[in-house]
Amino acid sequence: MKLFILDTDTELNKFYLNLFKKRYPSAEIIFVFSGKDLLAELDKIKPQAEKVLLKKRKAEAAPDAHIQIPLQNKKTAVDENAETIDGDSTDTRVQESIDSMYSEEMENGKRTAVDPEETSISVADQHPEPVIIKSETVAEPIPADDPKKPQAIVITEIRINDMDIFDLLNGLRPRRIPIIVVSSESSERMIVECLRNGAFDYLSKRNIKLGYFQDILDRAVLSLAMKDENEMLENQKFNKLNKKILQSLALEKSEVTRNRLSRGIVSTEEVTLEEGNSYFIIFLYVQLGVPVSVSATIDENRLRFLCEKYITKFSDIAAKYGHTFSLNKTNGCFFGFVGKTYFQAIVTALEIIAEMNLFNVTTENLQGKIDADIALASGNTKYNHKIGNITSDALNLCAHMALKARINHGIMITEDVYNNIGQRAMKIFKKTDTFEGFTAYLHSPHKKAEKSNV
Amino acid sequence: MYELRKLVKDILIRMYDAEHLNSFAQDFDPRFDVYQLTGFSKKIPVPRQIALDCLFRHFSKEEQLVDMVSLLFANDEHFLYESRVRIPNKEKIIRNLRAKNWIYDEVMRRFKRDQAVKQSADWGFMRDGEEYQLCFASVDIVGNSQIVQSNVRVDVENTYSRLRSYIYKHIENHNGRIWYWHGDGGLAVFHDYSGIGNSMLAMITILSHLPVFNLCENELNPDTDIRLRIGINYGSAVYSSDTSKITSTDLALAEEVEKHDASPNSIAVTNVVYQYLSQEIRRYLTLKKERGDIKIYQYQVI
Repeated sequence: MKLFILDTDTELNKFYLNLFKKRYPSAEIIFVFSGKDLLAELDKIKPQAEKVLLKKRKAEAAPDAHIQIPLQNKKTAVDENAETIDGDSTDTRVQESIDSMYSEEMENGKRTAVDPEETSISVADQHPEPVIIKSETVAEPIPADDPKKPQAIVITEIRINDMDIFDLLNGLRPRRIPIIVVSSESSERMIVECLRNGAFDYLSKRNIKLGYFQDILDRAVLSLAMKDENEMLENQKFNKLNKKILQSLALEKSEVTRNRLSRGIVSTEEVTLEEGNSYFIIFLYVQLGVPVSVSATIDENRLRFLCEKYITKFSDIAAKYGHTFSLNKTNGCFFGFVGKTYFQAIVTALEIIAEMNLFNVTTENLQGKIDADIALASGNTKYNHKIGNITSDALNLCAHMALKARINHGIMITEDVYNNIGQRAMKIFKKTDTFEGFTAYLHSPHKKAEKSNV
Repeated sequence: MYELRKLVKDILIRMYDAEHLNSFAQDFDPRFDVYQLTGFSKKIPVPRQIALDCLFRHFSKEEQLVDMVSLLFANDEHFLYESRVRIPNKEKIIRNLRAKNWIYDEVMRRFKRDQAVKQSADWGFMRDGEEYQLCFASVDIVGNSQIVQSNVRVDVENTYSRLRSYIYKHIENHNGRIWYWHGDGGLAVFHDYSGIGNSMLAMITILSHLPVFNLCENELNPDTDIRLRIGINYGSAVYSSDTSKITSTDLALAEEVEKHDASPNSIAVTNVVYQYLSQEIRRYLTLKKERGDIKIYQYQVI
């Protein structure tokens, strides 16, 4: 199988290379830098049956794995005069090879290093010859059900040096090669038109980090062995991949929310709650933990004033992230986030912890540290205009967690919340002992700091 | 500046004779010599008007005129020839300078550029070649090369640019300035004794809110978080308008402390900084190590 990559982004090409070497070690990876080069390379592809035979013969002739990296050679000379690198770790060698390949290109003036500190590289308009990286000896089965279908996949950017993306797609359409467009462009019309013009899949570059590109690639590879769409739909493995990729919609959605929040945009939807109706609500309960060292050395009125001040600040934070209702108590408060706004709720909790750190270092004559013990739980809740009269299992649970679970300046969340806060937030939580029969996750920066100090 | 110059001339001509004008001018520039500049012999008294014109020709820049006014204001209510000097038209001068974005700082008893209009690296009053007491905070991203290698370039650029804005925002909120930023770290500076507390608070704010930054603004792979290392020291440096070229041993110590003594997501401070911090902050600092005479304390974000 051949993987053609038409992109000038050096870092991204390295990423592709690492990924392909791990997932498809037997694949031949070809970097091309223009549409014409791509078409010319595709013209060279031989019918599948012959190719398999050729591979077998080569494997018999050369038992040790090797990688060929022609650098300056002409395309025609690539296969015969390729430089051979031997060693133990293929991945390392491939990485070193591609690194050296790029640095050599830079020395030749074909590329320009913009900022060596940041190792960012911009690519000039003039591109080198196609670079072919092969590892031909691993005997991996190549789907060959349809000998007429070339065993190749193309990954391309939209911005190609020498031709329009649609010309390229139309040029490739008769060859029946799956084309995955991976681009920094993410306009809806562009995506639709690419798919209409024969692209097999489309992925925005900003979503590569979400980790489902490999599933998209697997799906394209699987399609090589299938005659038509009907066969794809009947294939169990294909459908399984489809389902897995569909889950990425939630990931993308959470990324969009994240980006909006980073720009200070909270949902503009007005939520009007009607008494007696049931809503899905995420409760965030904050309990201020005042140690005896503080309560015994501070005037009662001053302590009340301080707690009120802190809680007012917490309310401002929750309002910033779009809470729907709140209730303040003497030493604590809770906020309700209507709908599946898990991300907003968790960011609110983290910001409250941050603010509490600052309060502790800026409040004068405080003989100890006041903790903010935070808990989050979600569930369907019957709404009551008198917030104090709301009865809900989720609210009860998070209140119990905040009051009794000895969170010790941290955040405890239920499994439902954990599963919906996104990968980034998930990694700061650790599964803890079950609380009142529920699985709970804890983020405790205090414990982390203690560990780090040790 | 014409009106201001006229006002200052009026004051000076009433207050000082040529000899006094000479010593007044030497307070800014010791090389100033009214006799040499006017060509009069030291035995012949220089007429006031000529001495004054010479003074204004020598100090013709706006900053120099403002410094002159600052010095005049500092001499207000002082005694000269056994009588108390009162600067006339003070309010008028202040108003005049206010219109040109200069404000009078009562504490420092000098005029400075209004930082509310535009923040500058010199806080509106520092002059090239002069030495100031400053608090230096060196900030660095932990594992920069690893981040660059394992992430797409655009994501790294976006995240670093957002981080830069995030750090700038918190530092400027605490009256600090970034003197240089290299993409993966830089130097924040705070002036005066109050700058020590401010620098610590700014850095605690930055580290405390970092989890929120990572959640909302980090564009890197989901398993890569931005972590920072911070080193703070207090000392002196000679100011230069090209702030990236300013060096001093105290500044270098801040960078060294950050590099060698600060753990990820922590602030390492020298004993000089420690002794000026409030008790509330000191409580959260732990002695990390002693390097000769220098004790290093660490604040770990919780």
